Amino acid sequence: MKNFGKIIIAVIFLMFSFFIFSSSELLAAEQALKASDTIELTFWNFWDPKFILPVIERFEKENPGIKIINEQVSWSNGLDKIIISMANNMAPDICEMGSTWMGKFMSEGALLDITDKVSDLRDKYLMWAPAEMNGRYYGMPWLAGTRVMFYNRELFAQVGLDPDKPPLTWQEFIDAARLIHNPQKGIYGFGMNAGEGHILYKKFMPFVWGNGGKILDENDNFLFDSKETREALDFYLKLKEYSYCEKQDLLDEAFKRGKLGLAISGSWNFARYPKDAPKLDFGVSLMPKPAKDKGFSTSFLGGEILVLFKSCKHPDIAAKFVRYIVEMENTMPITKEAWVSFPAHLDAYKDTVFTQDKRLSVFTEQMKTAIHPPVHRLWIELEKIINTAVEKAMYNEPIESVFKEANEEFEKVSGKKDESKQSSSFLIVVLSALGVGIIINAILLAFILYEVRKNKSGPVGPLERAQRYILFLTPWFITFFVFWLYPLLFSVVLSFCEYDVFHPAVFSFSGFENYSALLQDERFIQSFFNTLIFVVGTTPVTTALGLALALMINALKSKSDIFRSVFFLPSIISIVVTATIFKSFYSPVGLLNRFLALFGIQGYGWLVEKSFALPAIMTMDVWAYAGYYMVLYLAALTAVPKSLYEAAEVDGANEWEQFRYITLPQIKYMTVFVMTINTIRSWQVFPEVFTLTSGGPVGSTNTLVHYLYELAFRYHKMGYASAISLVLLVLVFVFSLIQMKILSGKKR
Amino acid sequence: MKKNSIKQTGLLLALSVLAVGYIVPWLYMVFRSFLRHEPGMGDGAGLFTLDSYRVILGSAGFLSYISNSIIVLVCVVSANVIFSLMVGYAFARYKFPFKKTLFALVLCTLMVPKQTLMVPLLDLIVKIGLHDSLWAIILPFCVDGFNVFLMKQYISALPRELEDAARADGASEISVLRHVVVPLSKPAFAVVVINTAILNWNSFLFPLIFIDTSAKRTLPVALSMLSQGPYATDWGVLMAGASVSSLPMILIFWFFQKEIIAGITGGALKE
Repeated sequence: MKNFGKIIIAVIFLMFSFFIFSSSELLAAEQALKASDTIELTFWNFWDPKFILPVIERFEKENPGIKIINEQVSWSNGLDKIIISMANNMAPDICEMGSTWMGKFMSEGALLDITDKVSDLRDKYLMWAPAEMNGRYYGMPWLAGTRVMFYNRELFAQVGLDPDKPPLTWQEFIDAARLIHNPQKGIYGFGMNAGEGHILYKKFMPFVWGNGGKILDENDNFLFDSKETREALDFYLKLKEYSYCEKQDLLDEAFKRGKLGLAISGSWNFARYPKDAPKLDFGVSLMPKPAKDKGFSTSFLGGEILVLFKSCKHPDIAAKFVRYIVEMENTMPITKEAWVSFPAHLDAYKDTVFTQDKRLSVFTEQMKTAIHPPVHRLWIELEKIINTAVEKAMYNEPIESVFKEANEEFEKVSGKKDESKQSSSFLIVVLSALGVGIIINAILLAFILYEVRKNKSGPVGPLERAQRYILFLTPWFITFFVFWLYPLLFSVVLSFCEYDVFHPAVFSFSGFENYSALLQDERFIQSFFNTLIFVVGTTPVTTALGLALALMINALKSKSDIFRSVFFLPSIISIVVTATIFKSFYSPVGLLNRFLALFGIQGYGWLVEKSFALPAIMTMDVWAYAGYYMVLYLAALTAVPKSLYEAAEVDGANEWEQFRYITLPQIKYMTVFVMTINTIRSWQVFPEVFTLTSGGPVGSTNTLVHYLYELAFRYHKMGYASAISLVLLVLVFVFSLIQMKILSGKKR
Repeated sequence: MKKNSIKQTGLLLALSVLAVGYIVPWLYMVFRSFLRHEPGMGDGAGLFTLDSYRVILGSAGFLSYISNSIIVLVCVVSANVIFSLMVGYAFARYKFPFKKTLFALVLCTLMVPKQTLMVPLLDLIVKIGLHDSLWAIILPFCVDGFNVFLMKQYISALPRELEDAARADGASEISVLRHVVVPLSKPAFAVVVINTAILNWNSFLFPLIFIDTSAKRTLPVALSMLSQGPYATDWGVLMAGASVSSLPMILIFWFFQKEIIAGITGGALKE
């Protein structure tokens, strides 16, 4: 008996150490490789490596013994990645940041104070505001950019406007857009941003700022609901009458095609327009101001700041690299290649490129008056609030409720700063691991006692009998307990807590707060209903289409696999590929609209129109998955005994009756199966939404899993996200159970 | 007779129309990947180009995305084959306490979508130091409940006598498995391989959140990132990326059509 105990302990020990060892061994191996004399620094940035690597190469040549590891992060989830890496203590040494993120990271205390390393550069660079807090510098301005007004000179001339006199005031702006607007011909007055986060406010806020408005005052009061904002919004909504609403890239595309009279966009078009559309005659001008004698012209100022994280191993060397890369000759090549933004180095603007090009000098002119959004710990949330408010107004929600909701949202995000009880996550982890350990222990013990109790004397002893299946079951035990039960339990714990990734060691117990917050969370309710619509809308259609295809193919005399293969193909190809293709299909200049135009139908920007975006995704989903269920149905149909049909034919049953009374009941088990797996899958719809719309416009395609993802990795509310995931889990469970009951209970 | 042939023609016509609707997107994908501009833009000269493919295949990234995807696929599929055989066999043949409960738990794992566990799973992955390594998208997916269920059902239906005979000859449990059960279970393996491969090749969420470094991304994630640039999308490059990433699957499907379809239906019919 003593041996059994030892074995049990050994097995448990093995199971738990397996992962820890395998991973730490890998880590050790990696570190051994790195243990040379060179100093390594990681540098995360958003640029194509072809711009960055040459600079790094030069730097390494000039500074032997230093190695910079370049890592390209994407704009779409770069912020999420930075947050996750910080939570894991794997933040890079040097990082490029969007200037609007700085408020958050500075106030979280995540960045290194580099005042003494860069302050001598104060007069040589612009855009220090977002890198400064309480008089200290936490970053180095690298690149800056602004937005100006683009206008199509040809369209101006066509309607009798002087191409050399772009609109200077709001009224002139609206007038010009109205004159040019001619949707029958596919020409629009203005291109207005819609359907994506983080961009709309950059276009809208300048009108508020130019009108004397503000978002926050010195005491962090939310001033969004003001006379100035209301006037600007009023103007913006008037402008919308003559606008084409789309995402940024599609607006740029439309302007390039000469479909837009006016657009507000950035300098990256300088690289693209002449290359893609050499004949396009466009001008740029400063942003219009409220009226001749009122307000001023301003725009959005934003850019890239280089920062060092607190965890940076060699701050002096990192700062040296930062100072190197922001030098003009190292930054200009990036600007000149892509024209996405300009150097923050002031000398750059003396470069002939800027002084001689009339259009580019408009940018430098605008840059002088452009305003950087407030540097605030909650700016990323505020950005979203403003975006949502403007977008809601654009989609005809009453102005009053828009402002009211914006204020409420602000209260919600800014109020959550109460002191909370702190307990160590370590304790919870240890307790959960212990719990899981005890369960495994108990099971193994039970196994062995069971064999001993049976007390069969035979060629193999009880221990060996137990060993047989313990060995065989181990892989499943590990996966089950480590990757399923433990996360599940931990998720339950988390759902009663507030868990901040910035301080991973701090948990705070919040009771049922997360759950009660759920019921008041509009975005949760919206994403719940979106998902419900998605499930109820696609599951029956996909199943029916799958069945119809199967029936048709089955009825076909010439047996050929070609149809089956064609319909089945989307099922084996990544849904991301499918989504990519459909994204281009649904674009306003995409194949779908061209096809509709053949019949004289004016299409939409399917993915940015609030009422069409979700159905568009659902349609794609049906298209992509019907073939899979068709294959299942085909198999079921082949299994229906032919004799049944022959007997029915003798009885004079027509085809419908045969289908209704023979086929359907015979393949009912398959219908149950198809509906169930289809429902489970639909509740979790994510990659489609992530790729096509990211939940927009105005959250109209936000689904539960996507919202979950956003909460967890964009707003890092892990506790709240866990509460939602448990709700989702229960939903899926209950829904598929009910469905199975109904479907299999009906008409036996 | 005449009525029948009209019906056949009608069916053929209807299916052909639908098939066109299914083929056009793929054709468009390939067609667009060779175009310099959006169709109808720019002048006709130099309309077709291989530039997009040069960009895609030239960037060191894309080849490593493909190899990452393949590494993960091979590991996960082979682990599933081996482990689902072992676990399925234990459930099918051995007697042990809580067998019913444990098997019910296997079925439970099928009902709970892994996506809902993403937060604690990420937390766990980070704590055991697997974050940002391919192990993170391999280890948690090595034993899939569905495959265990499938193997258990299949093995239960096999005749027991052969195994007992082998045991009587003094074969160990492992060699019983290897020399008796494995040769008989090939059709079930095909189902496991195909289902796991399709699921894994298309998996998106976990590679997205478990992997940080761009060089370690898998194809679907890389493609999704490509389509989400903040500035004007280059559809040519995007479609070239889409073509390159779907090509392996299309080829595999072409050659193993029968097996794949049989595999999928085999999985369902066993339910």
